[in-house]
Amino acid sequence: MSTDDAFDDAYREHYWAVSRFVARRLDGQAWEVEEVVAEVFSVAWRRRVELPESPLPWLYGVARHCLANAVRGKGRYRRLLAKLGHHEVTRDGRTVASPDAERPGSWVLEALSRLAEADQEVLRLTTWEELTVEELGTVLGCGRSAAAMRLHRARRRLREQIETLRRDDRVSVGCTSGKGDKAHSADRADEAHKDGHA
Amino acid sequence: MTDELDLLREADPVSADTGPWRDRPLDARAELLLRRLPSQDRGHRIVRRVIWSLEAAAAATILALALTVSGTPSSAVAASRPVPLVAHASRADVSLAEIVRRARTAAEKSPGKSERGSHFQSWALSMTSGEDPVTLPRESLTRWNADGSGFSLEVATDPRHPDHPVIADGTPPRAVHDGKVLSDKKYPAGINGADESYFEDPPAGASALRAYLAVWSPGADDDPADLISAIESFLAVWTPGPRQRADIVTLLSRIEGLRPAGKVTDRLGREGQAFRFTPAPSGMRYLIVLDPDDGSVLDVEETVTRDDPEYKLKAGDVMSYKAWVS
Repeated sequence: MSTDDAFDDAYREHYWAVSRFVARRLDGQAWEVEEVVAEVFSVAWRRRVELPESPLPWLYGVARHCLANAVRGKGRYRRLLAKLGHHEVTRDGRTVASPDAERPGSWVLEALSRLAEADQEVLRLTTWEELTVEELGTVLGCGRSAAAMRLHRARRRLREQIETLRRDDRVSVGCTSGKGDKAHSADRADEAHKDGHA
Repeated sequence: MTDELDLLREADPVSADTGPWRDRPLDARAELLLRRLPSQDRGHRIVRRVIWSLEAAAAATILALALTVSGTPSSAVAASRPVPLVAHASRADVSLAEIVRRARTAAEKSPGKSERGSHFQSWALSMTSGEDPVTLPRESLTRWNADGSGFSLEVATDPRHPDHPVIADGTPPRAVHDGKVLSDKKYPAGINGADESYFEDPPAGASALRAYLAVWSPGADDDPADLISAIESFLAVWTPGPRQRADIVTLLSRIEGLRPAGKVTDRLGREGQAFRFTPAPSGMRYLIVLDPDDGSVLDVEETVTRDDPEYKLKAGDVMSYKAWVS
């Protein structure tokens, strides 16, 4: 099979997986996702001689760089437009306040958002992109053991945030001084966040 | 017990089974992209990524994102922010319908093709939270030769200051005076704009042009603000001939809510006829300045309509502008 044919196959097989990868991280409108996905495959096309036998993690790696560029170039502009009401709000209903709310999965996203970006990415790749530790290493550009360690730490920090959210929920339900306790929990969350950056 | 990874899996916001990104055979858009990828092989690509303004970055589309690669973006340099253009209504104003008529007449007399390449000055606020929203005003010149080679030159310039450096449009192009060259790219033969959006020749006819714009700027076919943005980005790639000029003003004339604003003397000292569009509830307002004689788009300026303390913006402040030199 020629390089071009291999690329063609990878494109057809993974176009939607790459689109989901971008959509999960861009938090933008569909056309913005499509633009970045187009960039991903354009870059991949130029680098098609590097296409590995198992191309999806490699494509995710390309997508991470493209997303970083897109976010750098557009992020502030988009945020302002969103603030001004130019774009539709795309996040409504995404997060809720507590584990007892109607969408049980949503508060996990709240816990996730409290982590350092690097931790979030390891966890997203593992759960939403369903990557193995080896594939994780490919996307992150590190070895298997480093990837495993990063996943281990990220899981621990996510657990801590989930527990924090659960504690906050109990406090706010059962105690009138919940505000101060919540602030304390927020401090702990900040500490965990900084820990994630370290 | 469900562990944290299971919880996170269940919270996946983008499904592979439902929604726009679900697994399925490629749709038409994806097929089109795949078919176009080999065209990027024309010539040896040595192009660099130049994100020369947030405005341009926001307007950049598929292939511009794909191929304007590598290098460093120009750093934002503080400069005083521009004041908005002021329109004065008078009895001498030329209506948009009349401008369309004149443009059509000019196109019939001399259809003339659009030329790939552009020459414009621009500015866009930096939108760094808590900082003054200013970036360096700049002038961009892109030209293509018959063999597909070309260049793109960008210098710092402020149209309000006559002594400020400007691009000398010659062969080779150079920055006159002491203008800082922000980027200077040269493209080998065969590229011919294939690294840009709108790389195909624009069609004749307003409806066909709108469909063409929508290929690279989704939304241009049904959203007036997107259409204006698409026209802006199109004019950053092409210098329209009489036919496309007439098509562009025809498209503008079809925008419901585009109101006459009066005469404007733009930042380059040219007098034009301005039209205002405020897409609700965008928080932004467009001012489009046209040459009343032939319908050329002279300027597009965006201003905010609401205060935004975080970005030190007040209602009426300029968010971006573009002024086409030719």
